[in-house]
Amino acid sequence: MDMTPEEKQLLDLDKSRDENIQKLKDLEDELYSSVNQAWFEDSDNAIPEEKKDFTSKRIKLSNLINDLDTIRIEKIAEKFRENESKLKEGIDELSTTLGGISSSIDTLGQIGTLISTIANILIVV
Amino acid sequence: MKKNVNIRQIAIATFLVTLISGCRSNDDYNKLGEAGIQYIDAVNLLLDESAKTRVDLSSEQILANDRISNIDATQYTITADSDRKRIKYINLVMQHNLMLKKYFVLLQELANSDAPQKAQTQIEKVAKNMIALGSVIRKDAAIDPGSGTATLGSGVNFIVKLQIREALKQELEKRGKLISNELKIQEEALEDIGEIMLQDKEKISKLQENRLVVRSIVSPNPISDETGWIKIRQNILTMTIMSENLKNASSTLSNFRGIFESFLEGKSDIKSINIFLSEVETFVKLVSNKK
Repeated sequence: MDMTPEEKQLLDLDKSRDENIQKLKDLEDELYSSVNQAWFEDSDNAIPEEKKDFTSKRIKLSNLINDLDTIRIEKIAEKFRENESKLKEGIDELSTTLGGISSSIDTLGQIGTLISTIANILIVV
Repeated sequence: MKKNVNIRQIAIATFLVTLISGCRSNDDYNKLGEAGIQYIDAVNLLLDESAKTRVDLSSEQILANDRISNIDATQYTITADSDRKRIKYINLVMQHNLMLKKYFVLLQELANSDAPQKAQTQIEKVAKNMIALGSVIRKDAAIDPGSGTATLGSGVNFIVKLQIREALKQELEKRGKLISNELKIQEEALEDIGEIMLQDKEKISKLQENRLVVRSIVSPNPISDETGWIKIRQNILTMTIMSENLKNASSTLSNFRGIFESFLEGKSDIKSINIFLSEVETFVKLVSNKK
């Protein structure tokens, strides 16, 4: 299927975004590697300011990656929200159908009881 | 003779209504409803697991950073808020899924309705009472209602059953495309959230390996519980394989859209729904065993 130039542009943007997010994730992996962790934990290797700066950067990067992943979930939630009123309509209609059937049977039961009561009254009379 | 005519009339009516309402039985609709319910429960289980995985990952990261330099309250709050935002959107998807589940529950309730049996009982009661009332009015001796009321009752039972089937068919004709679209978005959700969860679990595995395995082995002090250390290392290193299995199993959940669409086209059978239900069961066991 041929894509329109706009669709191709969007697809390229998506691809580029995914590649950039992957680069950030690779960087995060590198920063949290056991070698880096051990080096910074060793009190002889870095001064407190360097340690503070390193952890601040890691926290910022991790939160940024988390937020980018959350945006993907947010978009899914938005797509679902668009369908919600129509889905609710279906639920209401099914509930009404079920309620209608139950009510018809109740009415039938009441008619039966009424006829029986009339018959009993007529017997007594 | 009259009884034969009644039975023939009911048979003809049955044939005609069956033609009108298609070949699906109420049991088929019931099975579809059950598959829909099990599917949503399984998807929500995966979403719940992904939310917990996210929190576990950020906890590992907080601890890793705190071991280097003391984490302050602001840094902690920013991370916790970022987690809460993720949990909020996962929860929104889960809430929406509960709505979709409600749809399948109602579909199943309608297919499983005992209305035909109740209608049969009530109509037999009405018929008997009317015969009794007729006898009273005419001042006849009480007449045995005989098998006529039972035949009438069976006929009503059948007609109500067919009416329910027709209501189910109309419902799916009306909203089949909507549900199919819903399931398409669910597929995207399973793909995206499954991938995010797998990556999160891989990161947890590396961080835990560092915290629980590497730190103790590179320390100059000997490991006090070597058997425990081996077990921990085994669990951590196999975590990724387990996560990949979970991701693969979750992709089988996406088969539900195919089943649903085939059902709409009149192609899907009970066998394929049963196979799907057993796949869902395997997935649920896999998630439960991880806990």
